[in-house]
Amino acid sequence: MRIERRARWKAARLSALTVGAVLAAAACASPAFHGVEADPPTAVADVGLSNGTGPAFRLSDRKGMWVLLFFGYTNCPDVCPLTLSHIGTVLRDLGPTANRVAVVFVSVDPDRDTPDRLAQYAASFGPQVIGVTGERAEIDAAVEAFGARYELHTDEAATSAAGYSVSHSGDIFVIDPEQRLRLTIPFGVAPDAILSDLRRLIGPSG
Amino acid sequence: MSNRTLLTLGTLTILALTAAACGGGSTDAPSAGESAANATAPVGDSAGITTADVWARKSPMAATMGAVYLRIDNHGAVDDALIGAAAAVAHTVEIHETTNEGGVMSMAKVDAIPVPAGGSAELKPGGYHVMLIDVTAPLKLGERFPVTLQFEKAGMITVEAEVREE
Repeated sequence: MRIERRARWKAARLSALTVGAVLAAAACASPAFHGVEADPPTAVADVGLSNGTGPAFRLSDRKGMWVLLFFGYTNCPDVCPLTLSHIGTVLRDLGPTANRVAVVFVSVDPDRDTPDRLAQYAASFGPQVIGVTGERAEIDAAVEAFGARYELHTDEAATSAAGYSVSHSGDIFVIDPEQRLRLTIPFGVAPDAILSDLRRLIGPSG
Repeated sequence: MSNRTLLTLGTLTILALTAAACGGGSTDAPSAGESAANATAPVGDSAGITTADVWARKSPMAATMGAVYLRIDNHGAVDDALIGAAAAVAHTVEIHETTNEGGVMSMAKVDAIPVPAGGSAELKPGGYHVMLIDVTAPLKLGERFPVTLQFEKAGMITVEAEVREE
């Protein structure tokens, strides 16, 4: 009786271990992206930004590269430098894979963000990071291409010494080498999570 | 300990290990400076108000705006509020708040940040910050500079901010 009971417990323990192992495998097999996956990947309309006196930008010129695109403005002291600094950290941690990644910071505030100022600002976050802007219609088309949003709060200029502020989507848009949107990473996702998403997307040979 | 307990513990351990092994990063809000928060001693103290982990983000090139973050604790029995700030490193200093509405980030000046009695206020990326407007020079990594905080009840408290990457 006693031996029988022990055997039964042994079997129960084994089955519990099995269940645990199966759960473990399931959990590891398909870790969710931290960003929101475009499933299926969706083609992105080409984005063209004349960039004032700076070099003009066309998204299609970056075909063959992974592109991380982010909308913002340089007078933004919180969200923009935080996000770009996270991207900078991720690029460093990506190692050689970072050579296949371009980062595009699109300013939605061309009246204050001159091409020169944008170029300097963007370069602070890493050699792969460029800053571009354009005519209002070009910016609006670019924002539209990603279903993003922005708004200039010119009414605020009187209340803050910082002048008007700009509301803008805080997402990082991840575009694959075929110019398809693959992932939208919302504001506040930690760098290690972004890194894991990019490693999973880009892979060793992507 | 019964066999049943052992069994449960064993299963829990496996699940815990699984969770640990699969952790590919957290989706937590940015925790800039969080690790240092506990290590930093309070640097300001007046009428039950203490501050901790006061830091500013390194200036990107060409940036004229900056942000100071900190934690404020109110150990007193009276509600207080941060109502202003000043710093020699910028021409103007204001208190601003970043909000996230459906993924669209906005920033606006606020008049006060409440610091309730026995409670605290956290100024952190993606939330409240002390906004440095027109910095006199780029804020360089490792630099320290004084910031005077003005509280409704506790009056002026001067603290030292450290310039960090994040």
